[in-house]
Amino acid sequence: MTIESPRPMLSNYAGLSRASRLRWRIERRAHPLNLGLFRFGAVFVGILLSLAAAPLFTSASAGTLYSSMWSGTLGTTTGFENVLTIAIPLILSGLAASIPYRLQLWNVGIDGQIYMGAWAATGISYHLASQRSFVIIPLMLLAAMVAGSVWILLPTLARVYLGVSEVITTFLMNFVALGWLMYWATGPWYAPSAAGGVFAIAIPTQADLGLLHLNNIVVDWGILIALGLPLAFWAANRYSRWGYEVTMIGASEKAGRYAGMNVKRTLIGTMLIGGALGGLAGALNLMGTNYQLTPGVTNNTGFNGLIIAVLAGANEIGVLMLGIVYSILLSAGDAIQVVGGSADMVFAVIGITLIFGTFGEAYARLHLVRTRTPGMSSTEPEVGP
Amino acid sequence: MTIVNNHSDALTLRGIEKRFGELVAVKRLSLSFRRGEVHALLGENGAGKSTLMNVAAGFLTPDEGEIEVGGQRLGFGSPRASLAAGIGMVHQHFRLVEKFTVAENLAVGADDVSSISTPRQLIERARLLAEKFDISVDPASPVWALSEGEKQRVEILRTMSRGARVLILDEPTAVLTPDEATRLCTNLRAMAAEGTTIIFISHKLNEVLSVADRISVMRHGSLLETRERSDSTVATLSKMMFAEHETGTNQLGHRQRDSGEEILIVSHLSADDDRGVPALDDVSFVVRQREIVGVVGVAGNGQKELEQLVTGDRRPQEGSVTIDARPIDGIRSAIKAGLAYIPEDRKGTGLVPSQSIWRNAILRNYLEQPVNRHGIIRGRHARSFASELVARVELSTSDTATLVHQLSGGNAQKLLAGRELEQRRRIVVAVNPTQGLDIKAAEAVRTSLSDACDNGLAILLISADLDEALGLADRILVLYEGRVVGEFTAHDADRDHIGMLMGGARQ
Amino acid sequence: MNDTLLVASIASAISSSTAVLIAATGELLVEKTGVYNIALEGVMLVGALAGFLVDLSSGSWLLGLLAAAVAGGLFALLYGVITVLFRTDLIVVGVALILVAQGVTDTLGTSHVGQSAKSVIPIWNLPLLSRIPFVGPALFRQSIVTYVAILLPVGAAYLLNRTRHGLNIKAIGENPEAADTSGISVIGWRLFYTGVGGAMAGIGGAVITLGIVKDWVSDVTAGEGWIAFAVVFFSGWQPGWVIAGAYFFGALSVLGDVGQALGWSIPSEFFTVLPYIGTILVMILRAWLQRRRGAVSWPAALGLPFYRG
Repeated sequence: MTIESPRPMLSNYAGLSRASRLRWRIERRAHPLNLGLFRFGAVFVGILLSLAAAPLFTSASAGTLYSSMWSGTLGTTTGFENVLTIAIPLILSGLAASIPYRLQLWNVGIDGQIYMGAWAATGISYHLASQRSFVIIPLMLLAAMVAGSVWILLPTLARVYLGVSEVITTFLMNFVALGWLMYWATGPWYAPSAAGGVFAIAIPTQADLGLLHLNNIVVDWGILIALGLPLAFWAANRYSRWGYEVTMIGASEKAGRYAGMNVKRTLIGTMLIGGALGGLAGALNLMGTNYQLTPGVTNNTGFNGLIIAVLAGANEIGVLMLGIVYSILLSAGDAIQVVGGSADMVFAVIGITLIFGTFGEAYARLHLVRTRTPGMSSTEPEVGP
Repeated sequence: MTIVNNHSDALTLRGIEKRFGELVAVKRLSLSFRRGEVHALLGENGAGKSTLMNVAAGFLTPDEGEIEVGGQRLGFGSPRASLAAGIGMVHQHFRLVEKFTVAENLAVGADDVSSISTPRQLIERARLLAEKFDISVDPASPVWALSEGEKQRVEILRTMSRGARVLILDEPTAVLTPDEATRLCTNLRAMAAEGTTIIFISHKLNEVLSVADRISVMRHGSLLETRERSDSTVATLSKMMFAEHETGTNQLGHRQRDSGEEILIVSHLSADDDRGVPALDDVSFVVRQREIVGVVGVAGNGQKELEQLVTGDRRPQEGSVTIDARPIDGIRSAIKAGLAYIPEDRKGTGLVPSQSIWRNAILRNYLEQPVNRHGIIRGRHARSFASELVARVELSTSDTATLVHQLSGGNAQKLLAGRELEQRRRIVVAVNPTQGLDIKAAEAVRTSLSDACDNGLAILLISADLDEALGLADRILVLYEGRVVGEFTAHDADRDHIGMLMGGARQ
Repeated sequence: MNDTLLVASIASAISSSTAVLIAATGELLVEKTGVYNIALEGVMLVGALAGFLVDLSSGSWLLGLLAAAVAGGLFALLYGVITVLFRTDLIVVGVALILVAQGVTDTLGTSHVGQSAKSVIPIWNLPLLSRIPFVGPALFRQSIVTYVAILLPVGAAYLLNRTRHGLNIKAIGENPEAADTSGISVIGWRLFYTGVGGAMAGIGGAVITLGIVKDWVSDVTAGEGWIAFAVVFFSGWQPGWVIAGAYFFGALSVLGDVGQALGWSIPSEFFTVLPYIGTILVMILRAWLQRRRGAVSWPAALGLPFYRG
């Protein structure tokens, strides 16, 4: 079919056809592709590309680099123990973010909850220093969870009752927690350290987490909590009344109200659980790794947990698996420092991997559309500057 | 093939096709609009009218076809380009910045505003524009303080002030009082007389016949026919619109029933809206067993607050609501008292689209045995409950793991209505239950409401569609500015009289 | 307190607020279009390094600031393209880009740790004013950029409240559909201002390396980007309050040092956390005061992706 195009008569009209130009635009897909598949796939591709590019940024040879990565993670017993130890706080932080995330709530304050959990656990351990382990350890864990919950309470109430964005408030609470920790670690609980850095007096030895011996692998039993909690929450989400309410309210708050659910109570309760898990991560790190209250009790663990939760699509099993993958990446990062990699380079790798993941997800949701009328498209005069 | 230009045409659409995934919203449709005519685009909800016009105004990019303005082809997919070519659209949901004043809203994106302007200059400009186009607005008032009719005038004035020669209005009277609607139609006729082409999207036959010069009828994304008003009658148009179904609403007829005991008692109810402004003022009525009571009124006259009060979602300032003499003081207590509720927003409130059928099926009874025991949701019981429901309402799928957003609007409403109209309930609150459904699905929903009523339920029908209420209800209550200003039985209900009361005329 | 210490403290509070003020003004403009750049800390870090490196190689602080603007602008634009154009999650991408910025600046800057900037932003004693006793040395012996910085929010206020363009960008942040209907390019201007905000944050970062700290250390911005981010929320999206917030927060940070020097019994950490607690409380207070009015103080479409139709 041919259509005669009349000569311009109304040339003063902007936007009428000028030169023929292809136009692309991004639109939502009518039927999104499998989000999880594309997200995981993209993360996987990101990791492979980072691995391939790693030798370009270090002085070491590719062979040394890859072999140090392998032995620092899965290749040796020490490496594997390291992976498991790092995975504990990562998985718990992932849960701390993913459980509120199921209700479309952001817990960006996990690092703060880690500080507060570690602080509370430290305080309890000092006061109960004469007690036996089976008394002191549960109380420390409990105190840490309470402290984490308290730390998220104000942002939660502000969000639920006044609509104040919890993204900003939970995040700012991190700095407040850091200040609080610094006050105690440099003041009342200060322990002079030869190596430099801020450390409080060590917690009593009976407050240390015991070690598990699995064949020749030795790891503290915090790993049982880190492996068990995701499974427990996964089951609770699928089978419990609470899980059903969270699922439905998360998908539509209005529908939750309609069903007679107490939406506010669910939002608040779920955020407090998130805070408690953050606090727990802090206590486990203190009792299994650091043994002293220090700002190093978290090293971006909270942020990493948030990333894990989002990439896992708030699926608890996904959090567990990605937590371990993430831990392998971090351990590999530690390992390559020995052969000349930069300390923070691993962050760049993780950041880029994450962006790959979001692009994968974007591809699953969006597609490029070309206007199918060649020679007729208008230039878009509106793209201003 | 050569298409010859008719230069009296202001806007010509040729072979427009628009698909959303597998759904073909507009099918290879061609249509011309003349300079200075009021052209009505008539069709049921979902016929593709709005989609077609969104394409014409540059909000959607068509998959096929072309648009011609005054003899020249127009590029796609940019509202600015369309507006510059003289095509402007006023959407059903107004696109105004609530925090801005009227004057500021008129200035957004306007090229003729000088780049540096004080608020006073903007107000002066708005005043001049209002004068020029003879549309009365209050330039200094913030938009959030305006009524729907006033907001609409701001939208029209904005579109006209950008040099629109083709003005598209999407269901413009839906939010207006009958009085405001009449005034709008008068204004539109005057604008057409001065050479503006008005395209008027509507599904209301009488309105279309009173305002339009020509009428185009659409069904399932295709154009059926364009005819002069003089050749059209309600009968011919509705026959085209609804095809095999004749006219919809009144056809069902009204059933004779003997109502029983009083179930819902609303007494001396007064309540404020979310902003603290009184919304309901001393409203009292009862709904009996085997009785449908219809509440009609122009949107925004207290229906929403009444709905919330009866379903336990709002506290009254004064008065009370009881179901079987049990006071309603919350959503849970309403559910326990036997309230079934079909909200207007079915995919979002009544149903959760991103979840499975079985999770949606238990939404109102997930706390009851045997679905819930000791805080455990038992999937096997939930799924068998859902299977029974799906079989009972004859859903297109029997797989209860299907996600609700995969269901058509009609099937979703069947699921919702089927879940709510369960025998153990006492009273149903249904709000615009057939809105957005095709005629067949709408009829199915009406029949199920009528049947449920015959079987002993009390029904409170809150509807924006007067004809639907007249067709279904045993009694009609007219709500105006938060008061019941008229009550009619099915026998003495007079459509014109009710229409006047809805618009605020005194009884 | 003796006068010398007080004067020095005030002068230092003002100079240390400059970076935050510039970055916060940029972020205010971004947020007015409905996007928040949560990667602000990362953008400042990138600007700080770019400015420092160009200053080292060219010996010109002005070229350094220019490079910082370009680097910050491009880095923020990357954030804009990923989030605004591809409609991905602002928070996740923001966190990711902060990690990228930390990793990249640390890797590229390793060999320069401890080096000093070649050319630092000069101090300009305002004629006459700087000679006023007490007030002069406290307020009017600042780096050139400080004087310019305080004009930026004023300019932003003028842009937003008195110009057609300002009205248009506010409309984008309030109701992108309304702006789109009026023919304003929502995506285009959102990208543009993400870039502009990034350029300003980049300059803010370079002000730290070339005017305040004057050398390079890893993670040199040390949370100033987050402070700037907080200042915008503190301000209730009003340029005047951005100035107040930036200087108030700067004063608090200096107050901690002053308190330590004078042996106050209040721990210095109290002053470090005050800006954050203050921002949270101000946000809650504003929301509380506005809870009945139905209108929120933030741009109504802040953080929401835009789809046409």
